[in-house]
Amino acid sequence: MVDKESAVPLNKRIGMANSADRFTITVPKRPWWMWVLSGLWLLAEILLVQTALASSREGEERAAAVSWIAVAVLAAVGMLVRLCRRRLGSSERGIHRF
Amino acid sequence: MGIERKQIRRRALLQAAGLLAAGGAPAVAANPARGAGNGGRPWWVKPVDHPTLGYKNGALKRFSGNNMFALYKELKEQREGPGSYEAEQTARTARFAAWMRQPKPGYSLPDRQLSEAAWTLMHTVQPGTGILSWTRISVRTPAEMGVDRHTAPPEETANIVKAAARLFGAGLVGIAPMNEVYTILRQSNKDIVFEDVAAPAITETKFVIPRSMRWAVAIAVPMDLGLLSRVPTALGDAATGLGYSQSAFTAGSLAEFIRGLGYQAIPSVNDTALSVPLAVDAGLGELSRLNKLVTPEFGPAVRLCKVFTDLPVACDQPVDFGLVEFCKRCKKCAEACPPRALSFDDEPSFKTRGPWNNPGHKAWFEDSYKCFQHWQKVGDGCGICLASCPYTKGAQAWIHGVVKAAASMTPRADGLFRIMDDAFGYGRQHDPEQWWTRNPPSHSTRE
Repeated sequence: MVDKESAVPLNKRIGMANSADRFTITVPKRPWWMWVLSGLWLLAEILLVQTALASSREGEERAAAVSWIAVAVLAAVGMLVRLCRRRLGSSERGIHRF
Repeated sequence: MGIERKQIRRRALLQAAGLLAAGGAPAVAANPARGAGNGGRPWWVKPVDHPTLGYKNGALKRFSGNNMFALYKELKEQREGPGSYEAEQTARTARFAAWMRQPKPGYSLPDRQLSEAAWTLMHTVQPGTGILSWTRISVRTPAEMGVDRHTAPPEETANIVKAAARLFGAGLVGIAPMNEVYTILRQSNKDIVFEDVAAPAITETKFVIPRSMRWAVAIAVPMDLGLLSRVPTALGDAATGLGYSQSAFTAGSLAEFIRGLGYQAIPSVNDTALSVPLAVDAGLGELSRLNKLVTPEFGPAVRLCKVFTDLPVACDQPVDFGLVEFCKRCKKCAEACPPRALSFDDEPSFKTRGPWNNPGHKAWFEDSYKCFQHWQKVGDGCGICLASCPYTKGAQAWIHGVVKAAASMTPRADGLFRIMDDAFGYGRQHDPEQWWTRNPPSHSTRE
């Protein structure tokens, strides 16, 4: 028993088309707002890491600890979002990772 | 293929530029030196025509000079009976001796003597004496060197004076027109008067300021944050002593420099005139809930001094960086003050709290009696209000510049900034015992 999706060749499912003499790979663009969000995320991470390091140097130990926690939480959130988007993108195209 | 590669390179370049911008933006916001075009101040410090907390027309008078140092004994005995002052001082001396013997953290013999030593220069001068002399100490005048005195456009001269002040230890320097109303009436049992004379003079009965002295160079000397974060202890008091001693050196040296240019100069720390209104007029900062100056760069953690001169210099404008709106919402200093000496009022007013306040201007007036009484319990000074202010921050973390910039533009976020300040633990007392082992920073001027 072969399901309908498996019957479609892989190159079609991921946006790769054949012609007589070349492959064409279609990669969907990230939307502009994704770039903005990524930039803001990166900016926040840089600020927090710098705050954590500077606070340690200035003897503000609690500020440093809170900043490191914020760095970790923000990094985890960023990675989670990235992971979810990759999963979502893969399943939309019928690719399943194991 | 060539076109594709070029496009990929362009994208990589844009990404790199984005990264640089992300990292650089906060640095620009935080670093005052990069705020070019605004006299070296951060871009969010806006020059304004009038101070943010104003005066009542004609109501501002020259202050008697009777601050809490002069009034305390009399007020104490009025409120608590004859002998109460002496009894308090005896108990205070015994308490400190006991704390040194224990030793109580922040009050050990080395802590106490660090404070005493930090005060050394300030303790050796009286108004018009020593490094605060009203006349030339040692500098040679242009006439003695066979040259004409300095002449240049006022803007250029102002830059020269400010550069010299920074070299001598000023963290901030601005210039305001001399305002006679800011001078006190009496000091050292002598009147302070303005006369049409060529040079300053101190006689048996009066201090004479020439009317030709139409400019005041206002200077803020930053306090040591490592020490200030240990208040209220003897160690914390060393920050105050050091700030004053450095102020005396800065003002005295700048006065000598101005005399060396061929003009008259009167250096002053807490004497002769009120430093705060001069500093506000010169744009060093704004008047705050503390009823003290808060600067954008160092918060209230500064000591002020000034030099009066007849050297023509261009004046600066007062500034607005959103402090008054911030103070209305924050109130952290008032909550942190153990004797509740600071105002909790939402709005500043003209209503004074006692003879130690000078009426005629709008402020959050403080109860200096309560403040001074608390000093007697904890040491020679307190300073919790200075350390707890959210504007008192080190210069290393970029985020403080970002927050201060945001506070100047969006007063609605002020409450959030106050909450974040608490959450990050700012304003709490640092362990006094750790100060000696944390490799305290050198105050060398080498960068």
